[in-house]
Amino acid sequence: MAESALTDEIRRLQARIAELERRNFQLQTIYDIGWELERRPELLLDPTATDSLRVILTTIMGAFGATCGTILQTGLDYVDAIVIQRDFEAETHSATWSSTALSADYCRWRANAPVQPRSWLAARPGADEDASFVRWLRAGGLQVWVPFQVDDQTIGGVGLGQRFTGEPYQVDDVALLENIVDNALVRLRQIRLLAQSLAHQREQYRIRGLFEQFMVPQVVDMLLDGRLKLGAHGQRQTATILMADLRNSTPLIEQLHSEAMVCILNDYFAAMTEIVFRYEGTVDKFMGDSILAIFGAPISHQSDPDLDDVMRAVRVSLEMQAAFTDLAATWQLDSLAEKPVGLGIGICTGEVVIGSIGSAKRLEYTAIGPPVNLAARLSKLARGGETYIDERTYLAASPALKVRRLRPIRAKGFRQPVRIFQVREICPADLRK
Amino acid sequence: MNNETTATVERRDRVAIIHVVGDVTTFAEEAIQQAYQDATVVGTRAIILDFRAADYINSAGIAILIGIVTQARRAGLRISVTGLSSHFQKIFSMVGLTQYAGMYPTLEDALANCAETPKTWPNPL
Repeated sequence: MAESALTDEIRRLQARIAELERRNFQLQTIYDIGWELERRPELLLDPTATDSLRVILTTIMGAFGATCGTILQTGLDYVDAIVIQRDFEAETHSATWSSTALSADYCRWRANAPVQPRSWLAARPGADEDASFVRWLRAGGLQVWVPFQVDDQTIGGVGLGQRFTGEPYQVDDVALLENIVDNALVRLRQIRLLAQSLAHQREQYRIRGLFEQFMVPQVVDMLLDGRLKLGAHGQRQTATILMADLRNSTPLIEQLHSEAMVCILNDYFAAMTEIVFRYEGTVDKFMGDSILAIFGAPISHQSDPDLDDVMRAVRVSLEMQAAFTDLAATWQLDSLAEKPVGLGIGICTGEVVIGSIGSAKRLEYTAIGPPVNLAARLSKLARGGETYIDERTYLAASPALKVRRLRPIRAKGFRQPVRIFQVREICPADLRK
Repeated sequence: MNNETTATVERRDRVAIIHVVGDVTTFAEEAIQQAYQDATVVGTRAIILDFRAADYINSAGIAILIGIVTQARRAGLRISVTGLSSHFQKIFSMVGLTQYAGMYPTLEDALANCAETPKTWPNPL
C-alpha cells in the first residue's frame, strides 16, 4: 500500500515537473519574440506591422503547439484592420486588410466586453457568444483570443486554434498568453521607437550632409538643434554678397582634358570654400567656374565690432586672391592661356530675400535680390586679381579700406548709375584686429 | 546562434534525410520548407529530420516543424526525427510532435525504422 502511494506521488511529481517544463518553454516565448524581432534590421528601416506580427504569431503558435492562429491589428479608429492568418492544416499563410465590418464588429465587441475576463476562451462561453466578432472567431476555428491592450485601448488581438495535441486551452493558458502578448507589445513598441529614433537620426545625417557643403559645421549644428532658423518661407534682410569668377578661363576649358579641368575646379572650389567657412560665411552655390557666398545669413556678425559681415567679405576676397595666385602657380596655367587666368571678385551689400527656395523635391538655401545680381556683374567687370565693391560695402568698410574709385556703371535694377570701387588693401590697423 | 541555417536533402532509396545545420527559428523557415519540397519527390515514402547539427530551436522553429509534420501527415509520409537533445525531445513531446513523428537517438536507428513495416504508421488525414 505504501509502495503504491509512493508510486502515485512519483507520478504526481513527474506530471508536475512536466507541467513546469511546459510552462518554462512557453515563457521562453517572451525571449524568443524579442530575439526574432531584434534580428530583423528591416523592421528598423520599415517597421510595418505585417512582418513583425507574422513573427509574433508564428512564435506564439509554436509555444502553444497550435496548428492555426490569427493576429488582427486595428487602428485606434477601428476603420480597418490587418489580419494575419496561419493554418498548417490548410497550408495557408496570409496577410490581408480586413473589411470595415470586421473592425466595426471588433469595436462593438470590445466596447461591450466586461472588464474581466479580458480574454475569450471557447471552452468558457460568456454572455457575448452572439456577438458578430465571437462568431467570426469560432468560424475561423479559434479557441482562445487575447486582445492587444495598449494604454487601456484595444488595438487588435491574437487567437489560437486547435493544438497539435488536440488538448483544449485552459484558463492557465489564457493567463500565460496574456503575459506573452503584453511583453510582445512592449517589445514591438520599443522597436518602433528605436526605428523612429533611427529615422530621425538618418534625417539629421541627410540634412547635415546637405548643409555642410555650404555652411560651417557650427552653423549646421545650430540649425539642427533649432537654435537657428533658416527662414523656410524667406526673409528680407541685409547681407553682403560675394561673387568670385574665374577670368580668362575659356581658353583653359578648350585646351585641357575634361578630367584635368574638373581637378582644377575642384581644387579651386575647395580652397575658396575653406576661406569662406573660416569667416563663417555661407557658400550659396557654385555656377560653372563662379562661386557665390553670403555673409550675414543664416548667422549674422553685424554686431561684431571687430569683424562684421562686410569686413569678413572683404577679407575673404583678399585671401581668395592670394590663395588663387598660389593655386595658379601650382597648375602652371600661364603656359596654357594667352591672358593671365585670375579671379575677379564682386562684393555688394544690401537688402536680399534669403530662405530655402525651390520646389518640394529640390530646395536650396539661397539669396535673391539686386545685390546678388550686382555682385555677379562686378565679378565679370573685375579683371583677374581685382575685387570690386559697391558703394554701400565701401561706406560700411571705408575706414579700414584703401580703394580706387571707378567709373559708375549702369546696372539692372538700379535707376541711377552705380558707384563702384576697387579694393586696394585693408589698412594695417584693421588687419591687426 | 547564427542566422545562416542550411537544410540539405540526402536520399537513401525511398527515404529522404533533411540535414538541418544552424538555428531553427523563423530565419530557417525558407530553407527548411525548400528542403521539404525537394525531399517530397515521387517515390519518397519517409522523411528523416536530422537535427544533429542544429544548435538551437525556439518556439517559432517549433511552429515551423509543426507545419512540416502536418504536411507530411497529409501526404501520407512517415516522418522521423533524430539528433535531438533530451531538452528538445521533451519539448517535441509537449507540443505533440512525437504523436506523429518518431524520435530516434541515431540516424541509423531512424533509417532502420523506416525500413520496417510501418506498424506505427501515423494515419494520414
